[in-house]
Amino acid sequence: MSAAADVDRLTTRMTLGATALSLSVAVSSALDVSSEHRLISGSGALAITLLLFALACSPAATWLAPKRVELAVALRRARRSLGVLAMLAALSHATLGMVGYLGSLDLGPILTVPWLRDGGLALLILVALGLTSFPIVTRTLHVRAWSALHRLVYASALLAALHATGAPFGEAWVGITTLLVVLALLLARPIVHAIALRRAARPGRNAT
Amino acid sequence: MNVRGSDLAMLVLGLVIAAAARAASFAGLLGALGVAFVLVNVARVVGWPDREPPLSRRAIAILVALILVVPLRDLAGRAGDLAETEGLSGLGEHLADRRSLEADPSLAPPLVPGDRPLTYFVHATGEHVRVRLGPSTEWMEAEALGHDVFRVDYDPARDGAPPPRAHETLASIEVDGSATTRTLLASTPGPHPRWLHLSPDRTHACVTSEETDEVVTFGPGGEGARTSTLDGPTDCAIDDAGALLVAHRYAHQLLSIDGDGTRMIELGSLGALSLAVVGGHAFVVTDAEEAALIRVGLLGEHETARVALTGHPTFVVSGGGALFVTTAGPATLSRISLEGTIDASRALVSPAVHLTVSPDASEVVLALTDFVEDGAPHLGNHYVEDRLATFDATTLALREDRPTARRTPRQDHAGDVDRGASPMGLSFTARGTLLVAFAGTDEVWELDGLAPPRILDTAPHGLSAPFSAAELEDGSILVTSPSSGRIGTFGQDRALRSSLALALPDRELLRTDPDALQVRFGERAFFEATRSGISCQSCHLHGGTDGAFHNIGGRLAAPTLDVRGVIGTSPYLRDGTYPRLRDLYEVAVTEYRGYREPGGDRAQNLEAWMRTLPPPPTLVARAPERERRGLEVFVRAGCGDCHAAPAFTSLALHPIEAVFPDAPTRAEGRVLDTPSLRSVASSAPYLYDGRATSLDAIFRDHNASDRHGHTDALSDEDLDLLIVFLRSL
Repeated sequence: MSAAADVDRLTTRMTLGATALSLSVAVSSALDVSSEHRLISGSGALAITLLLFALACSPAATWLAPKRVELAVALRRARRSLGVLAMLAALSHATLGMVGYLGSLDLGPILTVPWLRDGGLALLILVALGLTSFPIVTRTLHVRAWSALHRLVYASALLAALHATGAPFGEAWVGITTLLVVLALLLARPIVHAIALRRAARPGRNAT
Repeated sequence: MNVRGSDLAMLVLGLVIAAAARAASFAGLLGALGVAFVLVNVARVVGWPDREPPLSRRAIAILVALILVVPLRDLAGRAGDLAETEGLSGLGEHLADRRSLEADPSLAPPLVPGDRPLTYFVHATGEHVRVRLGPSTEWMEAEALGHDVFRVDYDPARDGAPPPRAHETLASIEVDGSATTRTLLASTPGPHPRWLHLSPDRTHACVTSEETDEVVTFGPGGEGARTSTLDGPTDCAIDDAGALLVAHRYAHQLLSIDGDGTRMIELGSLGALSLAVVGGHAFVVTDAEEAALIRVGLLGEHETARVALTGHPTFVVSGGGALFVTTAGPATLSRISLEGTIDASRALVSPAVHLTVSPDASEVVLALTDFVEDGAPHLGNHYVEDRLATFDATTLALREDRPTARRTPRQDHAGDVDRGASPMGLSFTARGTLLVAFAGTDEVWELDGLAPPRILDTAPHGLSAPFSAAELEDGSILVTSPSSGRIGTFGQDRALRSSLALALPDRELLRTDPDALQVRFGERAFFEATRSGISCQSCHLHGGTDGAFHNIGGRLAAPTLDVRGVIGTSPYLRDGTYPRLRDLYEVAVTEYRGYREPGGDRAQNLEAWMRTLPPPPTLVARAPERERRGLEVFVRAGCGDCHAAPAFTSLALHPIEAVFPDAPTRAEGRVLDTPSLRSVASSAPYLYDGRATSLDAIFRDHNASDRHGHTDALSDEDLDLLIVFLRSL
């Protein structure tokens, strides 16, 4: 079997594994509330967990690249799939929230309450990132500077964490944990990058 | 990590746009970046090279330093605005409160009062729960209500109180044999002598201290003597024969003390709030099971009459062979005969702070914070104005309405008020002059008709925030100061003759217990008048609520919230504007022009005092089985999703139209902080706009959308059970 096929298989497995774990978190989150808010809470937990997995892919790939090239490549590919899945989960969460919680598709209340506004902005960023993840879209819209835009995924995750912190149908620790994980990943990114560069510069080692 | 010129350009352009647009929100910042993104992409389409080389580190550093410093500095200057807009200000306190309530197990309220009973609720996953509130208290078995909710009824007299000077206590919650500890605030208030009562011949006076279960009596010459009573003495009276009677909040009996000794007179009800003695009978208003005026014979020792009252009774006084009763929620004044017939009744805009009857029994004088003779009540709290309203004792028609908050030559700016604020206690002298104690401006007035008042400044004598003044037969004047725990006796020349210190003076407290002194200062600050003449007491009467509607700072007109029992429930105000209790001080500064003597630690002191206030007592008779079934309904209707145990609030903010889409009050763009349901039975009117006057009406009349709990499908019996449960909180 070719190396490309191995990477494809790894990518699929990692995406499926991360999604399964996210679903597990979503289900346990949904058990904490007592009525129709279960679905809203669960879908939100799913979106956040997928997003965190997507964020973790880059530093993990950078760290693994010198020794496990195929795994690193698979991780970078899985990042895109997980990000798009996070966007879809967030869209589902928003739809469920608007119907089940706000009771209408009126956007007015979302602008009123900080935790709702944070969620709305996080979704907006995710949708923008999700759309520009597809080359056909960037080509059609003549979007050329999309790579810088994608760094906003951290802003989206931070806003999602604030959204989870203030949301009434979950527990505050979900938001707090998300916030800490996002900050840790944000800090890890340049550190891991610097370590990887140093490793690559050592004699006798192959840089990726 | 490759950084290209276009990436930097996008970031810089975004920050410059955000700075120019004075963006102070996440949406504003993102919008600015969005515009920058579009502009940079347009630039690339029209000619910016696609294959630009990566910038060197040095180039990046220099560019960032040179270009970003101005917009970043500008944005940093608005960080405070951004934090406020996005709800980040005070987020730590809010999250700490949420974490405390969401822990398993959790307990609320996080307060142990050493002076009064308190009901706790525990949320724990388990079958068997025990609670111990501190090393000096006993283990208490919790009663399982179902759905992981447990109830614990604590009485310091039975279960042990925290040590007097403890300000924290380590509580243990044992769930199925496994113990967890929680830090709670311990509060043991000192003596608080409030309203003085004179004997009919004015030779004696009495005053109770509910916090320390004692009554203080004064004989001729103004010498005081302290006597222990039952639990929670709220009021006292001295009858014609010189017997002292004491009513209690937490005891079913009146205490009668005379030359023959001490007797108990069965009242048949808890929650006695005020007491009057006329013609061999004691008349007591109570708010326990139902609001009522109860008449008991002082010799027969049994209830002889009971008059149901509307609202929550506050005071009863006697004069001219009749009783005058005031209530809150709705605020009323009624004249009731000694036989129990309501002869006359009239509505008031705000409840009476206190009342008294003139010596000839022709007039009743009320201390009020607002009054409208005809028409609708005022909505804005800038109408709040301390006043004395005089009513005809027979018809209750208004005779005189006299605002008291006055400007004096001490004012610093036009319009400042520093006299006559927060009238707390009224008493006529034998000469017919009226003594008024002002807690907001530390003074006692003697009013003789329309003549300028004769003023006695009390603070220099260690009597800050005085509550009441009464003149004995010999012309000496007694003045009480609850926050100082002191009663002063002034001679006819108004010089201090003696002072009975029930509690340590400020100076001594500073040395021995500075935390308690901070609480004491906070209590005084609650009554202290702002430059506008308004104090916290103006709307939150006696730490509770005036039951009226106010519109603070152009927000939504909403009924006043009770400030008791708010510890651990950040954020505050109806719309959750303030994450910390001390932030409420901003209302006094921004809306009411601050204080004449600015600065100090008023905000922290106020917070320290408010944290020590337990929720108002719930004295309804227990019906455990019906309460359990009520909790079932509560959970089934989804009430617990937002009003989550153990505090019965999840501390979350909701857009009003999401919960009340069919509310008659326009609420677009308004936010609602989920209120706690503790003591909800005594906090009418209900809902954010006060349109529901009873618990029943919340669900039957004001939930057509079925979004404030799913109550449409509930049967009448279910609703009854739900209300039984709510009343038990």
